[in-house]
Amino acid sequence: MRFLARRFVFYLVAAFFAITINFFLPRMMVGDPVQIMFAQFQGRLDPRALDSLKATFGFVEGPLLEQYFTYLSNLLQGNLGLSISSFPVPVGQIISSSVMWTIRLLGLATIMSFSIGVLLGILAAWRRGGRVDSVLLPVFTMMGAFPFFWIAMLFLYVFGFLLGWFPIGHAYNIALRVDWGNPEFLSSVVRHTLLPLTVILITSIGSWMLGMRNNMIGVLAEDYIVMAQAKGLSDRRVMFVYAARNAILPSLTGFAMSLGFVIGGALVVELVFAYPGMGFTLLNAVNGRDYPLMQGVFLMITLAVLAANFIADIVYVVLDPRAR
Amino acid sequence: MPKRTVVFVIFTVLAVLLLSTTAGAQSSIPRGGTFLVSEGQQAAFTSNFNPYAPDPTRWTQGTMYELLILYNPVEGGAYTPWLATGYEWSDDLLTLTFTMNPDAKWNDGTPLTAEDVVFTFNMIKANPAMDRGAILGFIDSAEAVDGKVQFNLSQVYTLAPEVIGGNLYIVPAHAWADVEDPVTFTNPPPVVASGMLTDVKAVNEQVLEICRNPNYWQMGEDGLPLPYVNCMRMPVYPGNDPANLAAVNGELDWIGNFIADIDATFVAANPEKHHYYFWPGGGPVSLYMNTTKAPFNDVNFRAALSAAVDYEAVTNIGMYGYTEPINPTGLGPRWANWINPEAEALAAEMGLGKYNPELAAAKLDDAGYVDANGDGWRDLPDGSSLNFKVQVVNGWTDWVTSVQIMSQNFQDVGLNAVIDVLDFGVWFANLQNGTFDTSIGWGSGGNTPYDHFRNLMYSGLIGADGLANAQLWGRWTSPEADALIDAFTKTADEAEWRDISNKLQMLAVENVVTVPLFPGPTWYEWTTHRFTGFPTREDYYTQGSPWNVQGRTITLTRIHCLPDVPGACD
Repeated sequence: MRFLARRFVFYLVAAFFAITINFFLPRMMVGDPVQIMFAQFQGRLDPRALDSLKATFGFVEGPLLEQYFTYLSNLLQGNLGLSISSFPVPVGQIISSSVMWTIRLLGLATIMSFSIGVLLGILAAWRRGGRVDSVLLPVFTMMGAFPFFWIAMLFLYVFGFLLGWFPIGHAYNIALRVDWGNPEFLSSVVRHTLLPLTVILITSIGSWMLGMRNNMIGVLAEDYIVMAQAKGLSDRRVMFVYAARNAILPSLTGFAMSLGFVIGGALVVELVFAYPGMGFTLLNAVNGRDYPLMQGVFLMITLAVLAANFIADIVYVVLDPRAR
Repeated sequence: MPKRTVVFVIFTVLAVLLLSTTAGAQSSIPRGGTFLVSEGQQAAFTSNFNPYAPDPTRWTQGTMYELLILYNPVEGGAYTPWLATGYEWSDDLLTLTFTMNPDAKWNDGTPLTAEDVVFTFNMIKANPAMDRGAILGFIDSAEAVDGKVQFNLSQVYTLAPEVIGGNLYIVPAHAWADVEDPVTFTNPPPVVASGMLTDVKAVNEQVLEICRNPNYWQMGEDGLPLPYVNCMRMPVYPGNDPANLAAVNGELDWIGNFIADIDATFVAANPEKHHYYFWPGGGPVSLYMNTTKAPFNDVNFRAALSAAVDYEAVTNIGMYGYTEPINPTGLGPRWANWINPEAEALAAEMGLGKYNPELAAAKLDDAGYVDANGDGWRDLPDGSSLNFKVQVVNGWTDWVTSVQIMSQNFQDVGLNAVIDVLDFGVWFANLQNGTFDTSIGWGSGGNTPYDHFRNLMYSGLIGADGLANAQLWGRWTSPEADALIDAFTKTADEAEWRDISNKLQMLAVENVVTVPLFPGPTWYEWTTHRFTGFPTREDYYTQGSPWNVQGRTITLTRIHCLPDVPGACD
């Protein structure tokens, strides 16, 4: 328990530093939000609007330190502020509109990719030189080495555009209203998810698989495995309870980190498949110097990564008695 | 008359009547349908239907909240009456009176009157943060006088109709009077508005859908309220690639995006139904030179740069042939009838705006820019070495290619010029702060070339913070130009306007204020899978780009579904 309490305090301190960096880092970028919003119209917005825009965003100015303390006190009240690029929509509202899609797609993809990858890794190590080890492993590793956007565009072009098996964009058929009780809407969501999900899976399984296989091989050489086999335990029991349980520990940390980063979205997936999500929200916030929105997104990522790590710590304690 | 004849006559009359009514029904315009629009990269839609928000939800302006008069971009300064039937100046040019259209009404049936206009003005006056057109700089007050709105000006400013007509979106007094802070008001649906599309069906992270106002006050040719279409649907596309793929796939009806190699991609996918026209009516894209720095403070050097650029290569290779080299006065096709032949002749005499590397080299030699230290590059007249950057925005591929061509052109005449590809924010900050050598940049539009000249040469555009606003990036100014630009706003006489414009063109050419490259192409593609009536290359009745407020409003009065296509009119 002392271990977990110590970790918790550590994460609290880390969160505070992250929040502070969240505030100062974006402000070190060149360019201010009003001018950039203005410039993004590329001369189509009447320059006469500039003064009124500055008046609207008056709150952006003021000493940096003062802004920092306002930011901290707002944060403690759960107030992320108002977005600048979509003024005056609250940052929380913008984030909540896209975060659920990101969690659904990437959360599912990460969990599936980890589970499948680890399972295949176990099998590959158990039967070294077998079909899983000599065919699937190199194929998935090679897929993982291709640039992601290239695979994504290839799949979109072949299966979406040429063959027409899948829709070429969006999270659901936009002619339908969002209604989770409507079976037609649900099946549309599933159809739209398949292509991006497949692409994420085939490009990410390889690294989990390779990591797990290599850990397994190390563990399989341990004396206690020989001991377990000598005791006459079933192969399955030795493979999962003795070998995999020990070999999975390093992969678990990586998995916790990936789960945390899910919140940040997958920019390339979103750009290629026109899928809603946090990646594009963050890109837009950075391009538009939308400080409150950037802070909000970074805060979510930070908290998610810290939380995921904390959960990984707890799982460690459960799986590995030495950590207690 | 025998009975049978009477029966025959009656039947004949009935048959004729029947035929004529069916014929009439056939010639009436088909109604219904939802058209799909894409107008460039778009993040998740947020709900903000306040036309005075810094960046309102798309299609809030023009088709939801309307303007008094519409300046049709293709009609060179003529306006289309809208909520107002027209305007009149008083003799002293201090009172501007708009006559309201008595038919105008809100979607809830309430008449839209001069009082609503006065309410809108007073709201802006109380909240200068909403003053997108800076109208408070010249209007004192507004009052409603029997169906007319009278704006009392604080100073003579003859561009007032254009500025009011382009920026004053009329909001309903009866619905907005109780709004506590109109600056941060997001006007959640259902909205009270007067435009053609007011019924918001969806606004979320995937799509924006706004449907017709059944009570719209302007009638179509069939005597029923406009528009002929039911709904506008705009999907979110986080980048140009997915939007263009959907366009090639025939999923979209109306598009305002850049598409590379459009004939081989978009048009080739369906040559009969996929169309585009990039009207070269955008502001002049130019090479801006920082005239506060040597050697760009030397007019001879600037003139040499103008002669060194291969304009045909820039427009044909850099811009995919989507536009053409601009007239050396800097006035594109939009202001073709404003071009001063004298300024054109002067430009020709100076060798501006025409690719002539020998002339450029000769000009540089004459002005003393020769290779003094023998490193192969020309140096400054005082012998110190000369090298400069041409900056451009990262990811704007057409401009990046154009700048690559230009820096090669400059190297060909012995100038050590390199391309500098920058992040958008940094690029723009450099322009405004004057921390650049040369850069490609956009220009201004407008009904008269007034904004173009003002944004290029008016010293008042240097802000108190020292930033160069509008396109004053090159920072070339002169008291003469300032006086002419001011004089433009003091007369409503077109002959005087033309005289001033002629003089300003002479100044721009004589001093090589910028190197104008090409008129900005306005991205516009349309498909005739489901709808028709769009502006075409032959009948370009307004700017087709769906992001243009005036253009999309006028287009919306004409487009309708194709009844023979299954599902188009649903």
